[in-house]
Amino acid sequence: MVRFLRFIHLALRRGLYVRSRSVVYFMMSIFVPTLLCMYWVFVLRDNPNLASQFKVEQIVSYYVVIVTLSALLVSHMKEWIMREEIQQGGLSRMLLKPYSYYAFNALFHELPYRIVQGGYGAIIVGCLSLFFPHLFTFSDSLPLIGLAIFSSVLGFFICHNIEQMLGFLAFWLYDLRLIHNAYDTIFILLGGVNMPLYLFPDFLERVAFLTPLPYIIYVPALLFTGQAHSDAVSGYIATQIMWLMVTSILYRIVWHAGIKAFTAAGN
Amino acid sequence: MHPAHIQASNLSKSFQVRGKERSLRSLLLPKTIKKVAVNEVNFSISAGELVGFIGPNGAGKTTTLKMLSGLLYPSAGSVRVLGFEPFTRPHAFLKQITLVMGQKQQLWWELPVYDTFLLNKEIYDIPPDVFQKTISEFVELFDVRDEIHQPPRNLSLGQRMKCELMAALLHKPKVLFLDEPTIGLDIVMQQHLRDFVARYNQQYDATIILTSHYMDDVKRLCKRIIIINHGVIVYDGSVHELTRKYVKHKVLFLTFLTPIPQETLTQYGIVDSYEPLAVKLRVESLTVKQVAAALLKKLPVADITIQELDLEAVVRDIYLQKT
Repeated sequence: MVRFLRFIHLALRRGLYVRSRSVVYFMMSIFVPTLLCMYWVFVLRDNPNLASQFKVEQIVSYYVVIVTLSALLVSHMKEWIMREEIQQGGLSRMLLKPYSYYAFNALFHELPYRIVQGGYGAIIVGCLSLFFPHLFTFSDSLPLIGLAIFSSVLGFFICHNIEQMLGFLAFWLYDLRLIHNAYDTIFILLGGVNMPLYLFPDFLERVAFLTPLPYIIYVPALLFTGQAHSDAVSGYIATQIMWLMVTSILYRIVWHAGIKAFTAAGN
Repeated sequence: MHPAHIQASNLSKSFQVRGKERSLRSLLLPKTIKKVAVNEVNFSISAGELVGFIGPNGAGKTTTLKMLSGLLYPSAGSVRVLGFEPFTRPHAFLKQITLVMGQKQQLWWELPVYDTFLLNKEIYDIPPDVFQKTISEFVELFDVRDEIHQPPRNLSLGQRMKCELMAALLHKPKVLFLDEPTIGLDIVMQQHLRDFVARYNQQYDATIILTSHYMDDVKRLCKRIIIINHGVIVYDGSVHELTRKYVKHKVLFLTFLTPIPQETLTQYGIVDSYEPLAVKLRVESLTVKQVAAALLKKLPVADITIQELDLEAVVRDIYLQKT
């Protein structure tokens, strides 16, 4: 445990070293959601019928939380694993370390960025809700907030598993940009990044929930903003656990097959 | 006699390489060619030995090192390092070895070097007191007191290489695989690294395999060398034995009082370089005494020096013989 905490401490130090880079990444990530949020606010203002179903503070809270959770939970490992680790052979140095590659990536590669970028998001949420409290509505139930935090942890690991597997495809394929871009686009659409899935047509919403993508940040966002139906919460968490198990099993299969290919060919 | 730390028996590695044929058929059913990188290699290295592992580019040196360290699994044969099968990479094995590749770095680019050391301390689970003691020792040895608090991007290549070695040795490995550790370094820095490797070898009785294109590295550090070419070991023995076995010639450096025609000199041996008053003559080792005596007797020799062919030339000849 002490060793784990020392690792976290080092990861946080690394996070501070990369804080400037994190600001740029974070600023890039808030641009589109801010525009979309403004779009929906104007749509609701000009459409009284729609405004009777959805409130402005519900939409604003959703986007602010989505931006923060994107920064905090969405891993971006696939490009790095493809280029630095597999194609340029950086993986070799990790294979010779007596430490789990999975844990190292989560703790040392992702955590620093996620904490720093998520921290920026939390500061923005805090400031906005302090100065414009009427624009926000968050869950005020402590158990629900606890579940939202738990759901966020599950979401992080689901995303981490998927991103790593997408990176591992480089064990067999050379140019993965098409696959990676396609995944990013689908995630933006079905993961609730651009708009809440409850604004989707029913069919598309059902399709989205057949994939693991809404369980990464959308479900935690619903829990944090209090927009999840209370009877659906346990189902969400159970499905997240199921997706975590599925992606973890797939991760192990892809990793072992990939390492076999890597250690057969070398780099 | 120390027990064997490294044992390779009929160790082979081949790769499937895609053929160059350009046709629609090859696009759908690509033809692969089997390329043998290492072919039935046998050797045994005892604890505490420092062995030079040399060969021309593409000879199979790095592939062999990667199999020994566990990065590649062999296509055939067996290998055991410290009693482990390397490619299973158990943590107990990884804690006792290190692989330093001169062209790949493990230091974190944006972090101070010391933070990479701290990270390795956690990865290798090094007790704090041992860590501090090792750092102090290495800082002294490498003279990098200030440099370890800088990120690698602020360091020169030589300073970075020293820090790389420090990071790789923090856990005091028993077996070191050093792949071109002096590549790109100036001669002073090369010497520092050699001194360090030699001291580490003596101090910790570590087993070291060193690959290098610089013969000086091998000459100064290793008593034993293994030469590999086209995946086959062509020599395994002492440096002294190598020169004795392979050097069939000696070199005479001659200075004359008056110019001597080149044709006259060819009667005595192979003229490697010629100037009217200064000549480098290659002569068979067995006849060198007689030739030198004849030259002194018949020609106006001002000065004569007899030298062995240097290791570099010997190795170059071996590489050429086998190609």
